[in-house]
Amino acid sequence: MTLHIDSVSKRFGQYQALDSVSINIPKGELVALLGPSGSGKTTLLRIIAGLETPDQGRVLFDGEDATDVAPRYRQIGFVFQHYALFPHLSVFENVAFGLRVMAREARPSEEQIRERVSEILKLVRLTNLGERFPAQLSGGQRQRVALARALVIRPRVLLLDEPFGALDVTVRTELRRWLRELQQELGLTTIFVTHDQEEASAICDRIAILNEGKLLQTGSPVDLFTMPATSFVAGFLGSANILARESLGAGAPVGISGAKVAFRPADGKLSTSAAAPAPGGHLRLSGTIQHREFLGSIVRYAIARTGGEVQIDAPFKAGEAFIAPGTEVAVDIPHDALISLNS
Amino acid sequence: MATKRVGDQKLVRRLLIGAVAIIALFLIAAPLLAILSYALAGGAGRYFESLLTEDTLHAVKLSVITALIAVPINTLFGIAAAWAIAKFDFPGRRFLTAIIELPYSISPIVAGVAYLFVFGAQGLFGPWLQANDIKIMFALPGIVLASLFVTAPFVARELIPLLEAQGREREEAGISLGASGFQTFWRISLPGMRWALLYGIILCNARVFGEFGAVSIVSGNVRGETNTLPLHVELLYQDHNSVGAFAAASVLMLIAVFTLVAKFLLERRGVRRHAEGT
Repeated sequence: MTLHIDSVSKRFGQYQALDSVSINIPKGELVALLGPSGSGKTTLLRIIAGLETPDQGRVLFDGEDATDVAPRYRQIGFVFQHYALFPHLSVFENVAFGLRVMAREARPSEEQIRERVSEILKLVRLTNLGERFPAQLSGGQRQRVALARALVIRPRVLLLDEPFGALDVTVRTELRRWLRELQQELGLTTIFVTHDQEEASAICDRIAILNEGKLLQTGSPVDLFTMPATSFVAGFLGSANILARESLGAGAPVGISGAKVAFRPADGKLSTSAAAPAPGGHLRLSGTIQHREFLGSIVRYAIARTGGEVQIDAPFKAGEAFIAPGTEVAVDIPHDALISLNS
Repeated sequence: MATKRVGDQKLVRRLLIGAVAIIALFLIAAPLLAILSYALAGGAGRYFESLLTEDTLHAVKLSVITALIAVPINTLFGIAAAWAIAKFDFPGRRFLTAIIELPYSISPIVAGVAYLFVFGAQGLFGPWLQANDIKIMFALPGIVLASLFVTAPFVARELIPLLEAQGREREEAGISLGASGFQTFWRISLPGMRWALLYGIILCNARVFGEFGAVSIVSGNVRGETNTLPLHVELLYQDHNSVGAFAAASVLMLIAVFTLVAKFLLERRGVRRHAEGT
């Protein structure tokens, strides 16, 4: 199903949760709503599910206005952040719930219910746990029960609210890769909310970045990383050095137009021989090493300079000495690694 | 021991435990045992004889009928009130909570007198009720009303903290899976609160059977007609029929023991620890 969000706004008292947000989501895409807490991403997800009503704007499913459709008729799979499993029902009955509450004429027979639930449990790899109760499961298993419960109603869209937030790191990476494979296998339009940019970049077709209720930019993870439009996006998706354009002085290359300029810490090359001229096609910044962090495969240097500190990631090679704090250095950045930002 | 916990000296501990044990023995256990021994003083035959008198049986029946009406009404009221307070946000929420808990802090006599002022012959609606031949005071409706007042908070009080801890997500999950409001309530909300609900109902029931003050004002104490069990116990005692009084009292005691056991079993299920919240 394709999904259109058409200038949706929502206010809670004094707090503007969403400010005229519009997104189109094509069929079968996996889209992340990415933003810091309080950016409105969960509110947007709840509006799509019908759990909140927008003050303004419309939600369209396959071109049809669904804004006023009651949530129980939307046929949307919603996976809650804390799963919201029914603790008094077994895993099997949790998953069967969506089938058992169907109107009598649409409800499958007991045998069909058994078949369909078993099929879904197999899909989420919980075949042998049907008789267990939610309290007897691990976090990752609960997560998959919640997913199975949402999938059993054959949802038109799958919505996940911070789906991996409550899990520990190893389970999280495994589960997100598995979710991506499952989503592609089912061809199911899926939206998930996260504040973790790595998680979003790793598995999504597209990312929509929200901050303070506004949609800042949408695009593929690579596009957003290489062509962020604002300093917020540049800083949120990976780390970035952001400089005012005036601070570059005469060295500013032509073609850089925005108010600010950004570059990634890995794109700057450090040299201690500041006397040598900058290579052609490079921007040179000079300063002194302030601080050094050893991070395994890279060494991160903080360099103090007039016009703002910059960070440079240098690849670490065993046996190579670190540059000592206080050393005067030059940083050379190729012109094509410079990103113009509007704000 | 190198380090001692605060208040854990031997002497303090023995003194406190000893004092509590003695008080519990003399103030609570001994009187209850006295009831049994008085009731059975004339042998089991006399005990059952005085228990099975027409007036005593009528009092038991009246108490049972009162409970059968008052407990379900206050159960429904308790669920509705707890739901409204725990799951919705509206102005005056705190005020409503305070109102519901009022019967806890007010003397039951006051409730009885208040009903008398409203429904009694000289009361607010008295003349109108008399003209239409509706009898509330000194009849079953008055007894039920007084019992309802006194036991109004019992179910709600047990449910509010539980429902607040549970939040709204489970119901939202139910609705998004296609369930109707009623299906969600019946299949998800109600099972989610069943133990706390049962706990509240048992406490409410015990109080309905035990209520003396409010009921004594509105019932008129007519022997064999408007006497509930506690009122009947008092009447028999004033008649110097101690075996009869204690026999009737032993019925109330039986209800108390049942309540205690049920309460213990439910607490073991973790009602108080909100185990249902997970």
